[in-house]
Amino acid sequence: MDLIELVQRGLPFEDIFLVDMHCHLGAYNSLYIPYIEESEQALQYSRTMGRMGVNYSVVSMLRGLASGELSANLDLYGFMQQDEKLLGWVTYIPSLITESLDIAERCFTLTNRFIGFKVHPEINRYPIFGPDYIPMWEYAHERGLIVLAHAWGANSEPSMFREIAAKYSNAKILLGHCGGREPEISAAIQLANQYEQVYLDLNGAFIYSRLWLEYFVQRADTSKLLFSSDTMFNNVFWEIGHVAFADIPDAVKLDILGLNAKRLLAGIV
Amino acid sequence: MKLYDANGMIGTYTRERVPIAGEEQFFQLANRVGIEKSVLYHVDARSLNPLVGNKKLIEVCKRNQSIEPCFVLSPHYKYAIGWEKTEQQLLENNVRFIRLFPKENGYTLASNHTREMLEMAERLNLNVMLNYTSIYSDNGEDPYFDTLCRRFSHVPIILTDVQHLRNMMWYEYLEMHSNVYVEMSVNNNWLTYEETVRLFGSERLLWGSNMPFNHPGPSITMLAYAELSDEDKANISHRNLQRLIGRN
Repeated sequence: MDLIELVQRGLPFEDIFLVDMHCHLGAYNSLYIPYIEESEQALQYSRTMGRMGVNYSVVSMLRGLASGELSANLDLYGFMQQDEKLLGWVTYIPSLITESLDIAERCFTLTNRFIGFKVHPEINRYPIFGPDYIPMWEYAHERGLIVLAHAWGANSEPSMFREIAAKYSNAKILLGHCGGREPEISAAIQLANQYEQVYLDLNGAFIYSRLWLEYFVQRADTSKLLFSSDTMFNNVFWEIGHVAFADIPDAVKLDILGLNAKRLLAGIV
Repeated sequence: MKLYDANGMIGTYTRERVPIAGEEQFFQLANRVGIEKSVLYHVDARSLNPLVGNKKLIEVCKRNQSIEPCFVLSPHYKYAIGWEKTEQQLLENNVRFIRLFPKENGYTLASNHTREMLEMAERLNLNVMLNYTSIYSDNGEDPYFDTLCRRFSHVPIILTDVQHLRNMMWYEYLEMHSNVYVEMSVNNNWLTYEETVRLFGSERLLWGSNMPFNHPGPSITMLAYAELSDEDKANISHRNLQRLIGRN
């Protein structure tokens, strides 16, 4: 059965390795998200993963970005212990440098299933190249961690990552939402094509730019394209539809859905 | 899953580059993903002139029986041929859906023009469509939309391409007005179908593609994997729209 047939029937991807690189747990101020308790959300999200056949989801805590509760990262560790399909991003808040790095140290010591940092320069209203992010870049560079950075907006547009990519070459950078819209999408693709350690996170790029996956596949090094959903904001099924129905070779679909992530996360998944 | 598309635009859009270039490509894709019927308006009725575009739509409908025509109405009609002749055209062409683009067609939702067109919809038992950006700007939702829904409570008003970041507002419209329907093509909230059906039932939710702007695949996938009963899925995928078309 091919991918389109599977999704038209709503069947799980049983024989396809599927990694969702960009998920969240928690509440948000301007949007209704079901289940106020994170533990209940985690449980329900596990059902969503099961329906789709997601092998791994990499999650960050909204409390650890939109509030000062960095201990949420340790709560995430609890959820990761209950569900082996969950991997973690440690949140870093530029106005809380010491606290963020302390929590990061604890999380990365606990398990290698925390794969890196999640930063959101728009939520925290601080430019990605600003001095308060430098300790995080240095930390990631020293340890070869991945940084999933929201890359869309006045504080985080993709061209701002150029110097960072050149300077912290041992840190892997996943450009969130691939820039979101044109011309930022092209800037993100150009960075990923130029720098070996820069990757492209696809969620959100389709809905706002109204571009289809074919556009990205034609322009980007396809080994850099990573599947993601932005759950709890968005829905994994929506993003899957973009890949399943795309007019691209099946092998590229499989790379995007999970095999590229598997290579990036070698030794962890 | 039987698919009736509540939200599509036919023709060549030139205000931005869209992935579906024109009519032929549109129908090829619709056929490939299994869309059996589509409520469509013509791009030129939105971007050029409603009278011109609607005429083109009727020609397209003659070539393709799977289309249910949706006329774009605007005050252009009033001043060109008058509302009476406009009504005749709607009746002659068996039109069941009209769509308003207040911002793009040069009037406001709160204007007398809108009231007159909704009165026409009430007289002729038509369904009225508005895309979400017609009622939403950086200042929030236009409060007059609420007034219209209340005043024309017997006219089905379909909000198309409802936005995921505004889910609490379109929830409110469903809650407050039994004549409001929402079309779900670009609504990609987590558990959106499950939550909306739990809160308001499935009878006023419509599946749509938003072609040519969006690929229909993601909205097919959203509904296919939603944890709903077969009955609710059938309501959303085609039955509700079938009821509004009112011919089957």
